[in-house]
Amino acid sequence: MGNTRTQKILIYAGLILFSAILVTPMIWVVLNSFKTPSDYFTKPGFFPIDDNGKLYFSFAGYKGAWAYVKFGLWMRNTLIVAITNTLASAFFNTLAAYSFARLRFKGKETIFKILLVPMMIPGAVTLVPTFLVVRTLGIYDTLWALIIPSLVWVGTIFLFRQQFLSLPKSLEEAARIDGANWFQVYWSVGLPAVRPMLVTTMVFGFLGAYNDFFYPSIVLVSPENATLALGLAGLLKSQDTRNFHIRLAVLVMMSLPLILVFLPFQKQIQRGFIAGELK
Amino acid sequence: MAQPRLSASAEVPPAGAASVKPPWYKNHLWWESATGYLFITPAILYFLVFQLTGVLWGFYLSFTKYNLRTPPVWVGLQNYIDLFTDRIQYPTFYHSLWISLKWVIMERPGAIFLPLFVALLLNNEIKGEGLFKTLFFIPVITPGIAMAAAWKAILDPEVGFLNLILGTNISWLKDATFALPTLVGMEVWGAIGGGMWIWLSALKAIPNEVYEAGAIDGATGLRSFWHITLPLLRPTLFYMSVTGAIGSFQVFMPMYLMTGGEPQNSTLSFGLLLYNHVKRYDAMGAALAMAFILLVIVLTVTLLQFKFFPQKTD
Repeated sequence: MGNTRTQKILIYAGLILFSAILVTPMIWVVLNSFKTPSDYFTKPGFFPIDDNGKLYFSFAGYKGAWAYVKFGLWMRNTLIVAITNTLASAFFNTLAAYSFARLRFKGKETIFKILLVPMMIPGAVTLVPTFLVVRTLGIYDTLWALIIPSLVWVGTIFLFRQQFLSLPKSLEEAARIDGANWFQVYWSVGLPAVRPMLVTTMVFGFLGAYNDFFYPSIVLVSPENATLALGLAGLLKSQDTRNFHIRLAVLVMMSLPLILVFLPFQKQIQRGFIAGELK
Repeated sequence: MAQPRLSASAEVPPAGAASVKPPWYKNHLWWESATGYLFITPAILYFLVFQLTGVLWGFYLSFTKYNLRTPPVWVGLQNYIDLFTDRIQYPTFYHSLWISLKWVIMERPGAIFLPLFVALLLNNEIKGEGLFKTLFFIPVITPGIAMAAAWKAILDPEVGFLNLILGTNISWLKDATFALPTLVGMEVWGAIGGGMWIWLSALKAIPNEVYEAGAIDGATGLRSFWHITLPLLRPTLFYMSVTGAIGSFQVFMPMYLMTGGEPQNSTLSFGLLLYNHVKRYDAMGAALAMAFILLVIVLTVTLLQFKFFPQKTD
């Protein structure tokens, strides 16, 4: 579309305005996390400034996050769950998808259709039943409660089945003739061929597990099992206003590494977003 | 007769004839289906244990009084009837449905059209497109809980960023007129990045020739947007409004983290009410009944969608 000069300027102005709306509050939060607890309340404003008007950076909140609340433990729990879930669910889901796409066995199509039915049921509905099953399995209030129910996701199986079906069969057949068994074919021919989608799902899986709050809040109670999301939610819910600077420090330490690590995966995440409801 | 010739040749069976069955361990078809079943075993176990058992069991428990400590007591349809009729035991049932509906009505337009506007701005082959995309990407991967914590600080009536920059003195989350719209604003703010991407990919999928052909017919600028772009975006629009509304109706997080349903229940969504019955009141039977009422609502909307907006499968 041809644009006149004024149009161009208006477009840039609009984009800069929206960027500012998105970014300014975040900058405010990061800067405020470096204020001393008393300055946070007495000197509202963008920058941490001492009585002489000089800029300073106080790490009181950051130290508090490690000393008064268990940031390290929360991070450890979160990483255990997120990494296990990402790797294990990628494996189980693609394995099932490969089977549904390539192997011949009785009742395959019927089984696949039955597995798809629960996708219609919204998360809020399955939440309580999952909680009940978790209690019965004896994994309530353990990290297993976050791991085991996340190992399989039918939406992902569906997606990868489509991917495998769209591949030419010739490479796999060649591997079969060379004597590879089905697992070897899946592992060394099938998986590498769907790598882009695999990266996307794994990134999404990691982000989902790292950020999830609703479900963990139902199956975990002990403070020593808390994930970052649960720990921060606990701080938010507490009436104690003295932990304000700790909250900000925790939120910065929780988000910043994630943003930095995943910025390079922009394209993959974008693709997942557009594939829709990958979850 | 032709038969004798055949039977004569049957004396020496040709190698690999189907009539001769090799033992099972040499039959590659047997191995193939065994492997096939093995590969899908985790998925089937998950389905049987968490989905089938969980949902059926939950459905059964929705007909009981159950507090997790004592065995469930069968009460038939009582939970469902009470939810719909007993305004003393469940004073906020209809109210919470209304709040969730209000949320959908307020949140969806913003979460659909604001990102569309940004995507339209970005879709002009401008310089620095990558930089803007990266900026809009940041809220997408920021953990929701961290976002909530940030907003709580931003909305603080005394020292928060919003009152500071607007020069106002509003208790954003403690005033019944502002609380829900404030949460909506938060949600829409967070949806700009992700929504913009969905729109942008839909916009980029429209080939330039379509616009060129339109230009020949005199459709440029706003008319081209109205008569060419918008109709082509219809599938995305349906997806974001109907599928989006179904998800949006189940809203829980912002209320739970920011207001707890207060002030005066003005932010008590259906999702939050359900959660409260699981956690706070230990009323499993009622909570499950609510979950299945939600399921009926969601399935009805989904079926209506298929009926009235038959779509291409995506």
